[in-house]
Amino acid sequence: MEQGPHSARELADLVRAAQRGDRAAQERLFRAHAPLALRCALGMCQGQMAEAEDLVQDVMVTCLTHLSDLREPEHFVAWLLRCLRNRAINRGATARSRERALQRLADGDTADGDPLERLIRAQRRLLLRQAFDRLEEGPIKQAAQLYYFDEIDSVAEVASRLGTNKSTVTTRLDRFRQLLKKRIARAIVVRQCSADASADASEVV
Amino acid sequence: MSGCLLRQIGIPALLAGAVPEAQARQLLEHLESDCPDCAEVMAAAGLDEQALLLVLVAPPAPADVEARVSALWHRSREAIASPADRSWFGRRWPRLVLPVAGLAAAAALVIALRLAAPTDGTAEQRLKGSAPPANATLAVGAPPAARYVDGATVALHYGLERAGWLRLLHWRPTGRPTTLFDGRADAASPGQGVFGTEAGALGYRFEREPGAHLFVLISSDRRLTETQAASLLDAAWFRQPVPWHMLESQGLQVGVRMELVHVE
Repeated sequence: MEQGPHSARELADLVRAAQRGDRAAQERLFRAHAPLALRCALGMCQGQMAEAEDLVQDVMVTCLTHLSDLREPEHFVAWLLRCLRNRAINRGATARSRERALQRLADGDTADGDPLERLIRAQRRLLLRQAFDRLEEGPIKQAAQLYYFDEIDSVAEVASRLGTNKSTVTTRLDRFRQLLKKRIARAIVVRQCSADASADASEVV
Repeated sequence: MSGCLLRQIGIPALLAGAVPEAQARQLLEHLESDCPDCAEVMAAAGLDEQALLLVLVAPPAPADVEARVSALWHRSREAIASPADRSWFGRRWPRLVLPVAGLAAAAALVIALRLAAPTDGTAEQRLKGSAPPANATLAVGAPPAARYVDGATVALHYGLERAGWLRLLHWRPTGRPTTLFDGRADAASPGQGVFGTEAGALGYRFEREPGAHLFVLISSDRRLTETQAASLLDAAWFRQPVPWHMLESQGLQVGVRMELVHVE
């Protein structure tokens, strides 16, 4: 497996070299990130390998040929994932759901039939609850309770219920979202550990 | 030197699943702690919630991933040819082909229309873009709820009754409008454009602000650049609904419709 850049600085250096047209850096960047892109694409294409590979090729080529557009090299992975997601939607990986999505939005119906979206939403709900449960009682928890669990979508309304202003609520919700991201990052590591464990087990068998 | 283990290990390694097992156990404990630097590390990588969730739910890589990636690289490398590898002409000729071919096609079309112009002038009118733009079905939302919070990915769902160009713009009382989505839509083929709302997403931070408008410009026959769109905008459009406008753009008349999709 290609040893990719691990730290943010290594990644930024590699991206800058690739931006200068260094072919070896471009190849290293491609080989280091295509596996992650392929995993995500497989999820988006519901396991269809040929479709996922086409998507990855398309996105990797686009990202690497437009690398000069990336102003913050440290954001390469985030940029790649965003491009992948957008391209999957735009090129019709979810074509079947488009009309339904349009209709649902028009009807105000929020149910979504796409299995990946369902899975993402379910994981998000779970991790949202975990992040919330770990919070100590206090203003951040109050804001998160109203916004995420009592489904008061408006920051202004949350601020009014808490007797404070919008910017204070926004800051509290930002803090909660940081905790949520940390929970998601932790869940990624847990998944990696269990995948490693099952790989070890299968080697033993 | 920061004591943050996430910083030491690095986000790229975390996402690639390349954290050594011993460190992974320590990282699990670290992520349970109240380390204030973790959020900073994730923000520095530009990672939003959606990107992390996408990685979380991704299936494992296939066993032959290395061979597949090699094959993909070999299929892609010509397309990723470095600009430095090519001569001046070599770099530019692909860019010249389309404009030259376009000019030739346009000239041929004009000659053909002059030779067989209908007496009522309809075809010529259409060529100049004087037809009204297509009616559109538009909805902006970040499923499951039609709301957008910082960090969400927002989708513009659209359907046009005839082919046309769409440009989703975020207009703020201060500063010039910013394009969030720009694309061509075919008739009877609903589509979706996606944009991010977090800092760094598509190079733009979606800031909610009183008086801001989120709207779509629909042009009938040709794409408007952001500069053209900005120069054509009239604040009066926001105040009263006008079905569509004929606007002058680079010597051609363009039919433009504005659909408001959100006002803060």
